[in-house]
Amino acid sequence: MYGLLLKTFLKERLSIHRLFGQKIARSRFQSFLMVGLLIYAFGVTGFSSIFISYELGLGLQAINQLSSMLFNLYSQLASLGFLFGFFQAQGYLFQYKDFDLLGTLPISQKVIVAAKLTMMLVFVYLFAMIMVLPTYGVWWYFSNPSIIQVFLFIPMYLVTPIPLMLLGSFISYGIRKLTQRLIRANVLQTIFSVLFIISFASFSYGLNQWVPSSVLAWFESIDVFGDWFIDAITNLALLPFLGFMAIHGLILFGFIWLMSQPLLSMNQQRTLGPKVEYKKIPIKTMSIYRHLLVKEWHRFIGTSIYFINTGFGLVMLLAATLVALFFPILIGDLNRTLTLIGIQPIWFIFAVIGFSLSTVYTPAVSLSLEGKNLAMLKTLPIPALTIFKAKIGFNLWLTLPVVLLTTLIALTIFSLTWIEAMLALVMLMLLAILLSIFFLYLNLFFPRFDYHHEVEVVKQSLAALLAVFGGFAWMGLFLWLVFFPLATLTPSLQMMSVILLEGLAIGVMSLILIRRSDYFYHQLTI
Amino acid sequence: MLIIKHATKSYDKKKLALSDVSITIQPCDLYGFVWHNGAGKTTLLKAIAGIHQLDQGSITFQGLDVSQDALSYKQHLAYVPDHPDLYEQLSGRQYMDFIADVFKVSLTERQIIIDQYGASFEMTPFLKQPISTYSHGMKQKTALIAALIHKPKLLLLDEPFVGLDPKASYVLKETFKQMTQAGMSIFFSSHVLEVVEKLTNKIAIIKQGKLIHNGLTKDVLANQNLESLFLELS
Repeated sequence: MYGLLLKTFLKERLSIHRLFGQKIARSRFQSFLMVGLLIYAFGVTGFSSIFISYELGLGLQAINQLSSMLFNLYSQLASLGFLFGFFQAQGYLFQYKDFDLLGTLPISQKVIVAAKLTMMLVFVYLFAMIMVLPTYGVWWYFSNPSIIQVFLFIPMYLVTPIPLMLLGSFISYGIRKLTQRLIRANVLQTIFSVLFIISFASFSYGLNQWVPSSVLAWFESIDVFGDWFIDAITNLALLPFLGFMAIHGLILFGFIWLMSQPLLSMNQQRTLGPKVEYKKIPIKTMSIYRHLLVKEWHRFIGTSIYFINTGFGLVMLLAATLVALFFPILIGDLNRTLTLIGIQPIWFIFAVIGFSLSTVYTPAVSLSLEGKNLAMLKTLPIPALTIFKAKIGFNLWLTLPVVLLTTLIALTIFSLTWIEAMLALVMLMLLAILLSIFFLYLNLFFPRFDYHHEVEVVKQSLAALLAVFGGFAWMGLFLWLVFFPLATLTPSLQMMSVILLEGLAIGVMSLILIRRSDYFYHQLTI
Repeated sequence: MLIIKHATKSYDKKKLALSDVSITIQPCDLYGFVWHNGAGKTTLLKAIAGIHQLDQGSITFQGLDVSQDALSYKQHLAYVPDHPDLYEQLSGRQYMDFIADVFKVSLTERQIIIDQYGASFEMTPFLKQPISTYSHGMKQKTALIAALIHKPKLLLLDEPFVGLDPKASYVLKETFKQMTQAGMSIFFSSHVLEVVEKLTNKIAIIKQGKLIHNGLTKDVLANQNLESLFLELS
């Protein structure tokens, strides 16, 4: 039964239709574009990963410390497991969507939990192939391992993510449990999840500075898994291998054994009836545009995957700016480096803010996220342009305050003249507007309404991928102009040229959108 | 025989979704139950199907208790929800094969049933298509065929006629009659009072989680139609 369930889950989760949508699966052009983009994205990520690992391997080989690469691989794999557990457990274990279907079938709950956990692991393995396996490839290249070492590696590789994946699941469940009875539970859950991940990342990066060395040493002494992992593979040590496998297996089977019944209860309890409210709801009236903005906001904060993917760039930008404000020593170092390589600080600021803006691609996915609601929206007498303006407006509502704040802080830190500061401000604001309209176009040309989970739109849709790469392409174009054809101009003139180009692009795109909005809207079909 | 004894269930520990409901469904019964939305019909169906657990009371089918012998109990029943959430990336046929494999239905047997109901519900030409391309009615038909694939002894349906075209509704009603004649029990909720009145031999009326009328259709109606009774009670 386990095999049958797993086969069905794999078909359901990893089909071409599911990953790329019905329309893409049927359109040759969109398929080519998608495949090309994926090859490029994976190629770039994989190549960078291999390159960094290779450089690391060269250094480690020189000091005879190649085994550190294995520890690297082990910890990356375990961390990936944690992240997947944290973000996926809700939909896979605690409130799985197909509970009503599976609940009526004569399948043991333990088998269902085992198959669900396996599916979570499959996704960890898939990501690990790009993020982690290059490290192993480089280790292989330098160490030239025997076939026995490979046979020892494979099972250990497969079980490594399990403990932290389960820990991540419990933490995400804990956050949900703590917030479920509070007002706006969804929003709070999303905010707490983001805060937890940021704090976790900051803690990990700052571990050496903030945590006393005695505590770190204690942690290292109790975390024997990493040592066993290295020992088993490098020294062909059977005992650490068996210990590693046995404990990981025990954790997995223990979880299935102990948690199957509680997980069944959690799934049974999720169907709460509608809450009866006797309080009078105040009647309010708003403009259509404002209603649409409010709707966008609720969608944004109520969908974790959407909030985290398209809001993370802004949060990080704000965090980096505040760090720069309170630690001027970092800026001194940066300024010296920029002077050394002959780059004006303003273009560094432009690149950093532009990079962040490229990740806030809400207009590239928000139309698609309407999903089946689009049909309802289309029946209402709302002009197409108002809907499009709301999508752009919401994005600007998110980005412009952050851009304004970070630019002002950055300009103060780098002490630019007031003319340069004003020009920089206008240039960056226009960049935000330009990208916002551009993102909307992407969604108009590559909509994806037939999704089952928001992740398919926010992370896997063609519009989302094109938005990130397209944003980088705009940045690349402007920076190329500045550093090559306009290299001889002063920074102020360079900025004025970029402003002119941005204004031109915004004007053309806006004009087409205003004139053709009804046509674009009619083209959108579910 | 399905025996529901003192079924009680609350989602929030304040309001009862089911309050001391007791019903017995005999073989060959075609049992309909009605009331407004939110009266507890789906809760009761889901509790019988083994999706929800009761706070109090018991549900047994042929001596098997849903909470103690869940796997053996579920072997005998099939449940079709009002909005079937099927595995949309599978084709209709793949989904039916999945359910058939769960119930260990032989290839020959499943082929006969899929051919028979596929033709009756006019689904045969679409069975190779992904379910995600189906309309609501087609998903409903797919769920129905899959539910019938292991010849369950008890068929539970939540609003089975919603989304079905007139021909499919007719086929479903005829199928119900044939099945109950063959000894099967059917328990379904519906807002289509006319259908419930004409089709069923027993009726249950559930209001705010409580069973207010239950028994043979002719006895419950007592010379009036179901619509009048419904309006009188509500």
